[in-house]
Amino acid sequence: MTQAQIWVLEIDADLNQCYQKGHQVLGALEQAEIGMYQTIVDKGLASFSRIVPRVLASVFIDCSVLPHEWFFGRTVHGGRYLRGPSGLILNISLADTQKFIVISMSRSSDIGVDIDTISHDLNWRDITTRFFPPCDQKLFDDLPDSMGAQIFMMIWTAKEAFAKATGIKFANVLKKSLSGLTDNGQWSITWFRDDVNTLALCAHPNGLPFTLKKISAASVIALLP
Amino acid sequence: MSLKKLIATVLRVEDEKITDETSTKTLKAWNSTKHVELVMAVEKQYGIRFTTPEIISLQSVRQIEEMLSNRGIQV
Repeated sequence: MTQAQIWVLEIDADLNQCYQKGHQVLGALEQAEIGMYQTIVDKGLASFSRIVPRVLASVFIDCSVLPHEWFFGRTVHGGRYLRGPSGLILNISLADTQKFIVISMSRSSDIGVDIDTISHDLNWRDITTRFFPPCDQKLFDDLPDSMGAQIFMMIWTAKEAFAKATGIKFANVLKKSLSGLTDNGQWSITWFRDDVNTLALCAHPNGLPFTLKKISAASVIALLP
Repeated sequence: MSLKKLIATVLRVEDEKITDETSTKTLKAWNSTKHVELVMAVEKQYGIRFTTPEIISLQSVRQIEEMLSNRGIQV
């Protein structure tokens, strides 16, 4: 039985339209968080990334719960969850780029996800030297820049996904070695990559296996009541 | 370069978007990679090195200003 689900949504629709159609499903905490963003574009993305988990939970997890009936909350470590009227709790982790939103959900495991895009002007060598432990820095010895950037993204997204799953502050996670993230088998890291994007998922091994679905933002907006 | 101009440059946003209240929760552009780039840029400009607890707490422009002020640096 699939324990965790991941959706990768391509942002191919007007997010403002999503907000206009879907904002009524959001709770007070979500509205407050959205309201803090300074720009309309950021508000739109923040809204969409909060509306979509509710819709997905109602469609794919528990169809007896309407999107507005989920309670959205934050754990003491800042993690997100949805709780249904029956008490069902879904641990949620989100990540986004300008082109994609990634949403992961698990009933049985704390979960963390991150997606990042290789940026050609990112000074990853300086970041590695300043923030990574020596054992991780050694991974980059003698690597050409193109390969080094890809390795950097894998390590970076893994550490961020781990930080989200565990609640450990990211600045502390940066100092942990990549091999140390799995914590003697307590955590599992999985990557998905294409030429540009790197996605990392961190979950307890009992939170696996998982399914990954790629869907369009437009199709989710069409599901809104 | 002023601190706010430095932050705007690193985050690649217009200068006027950076206020004392700008934070990781108000600008999507202030993501994790930009955060470490910002830390390194501030360290370089002001000749300092932040500790890990300080890096964790540098979540807003105001917090960066206060951190620098605590080190005797006026921005």
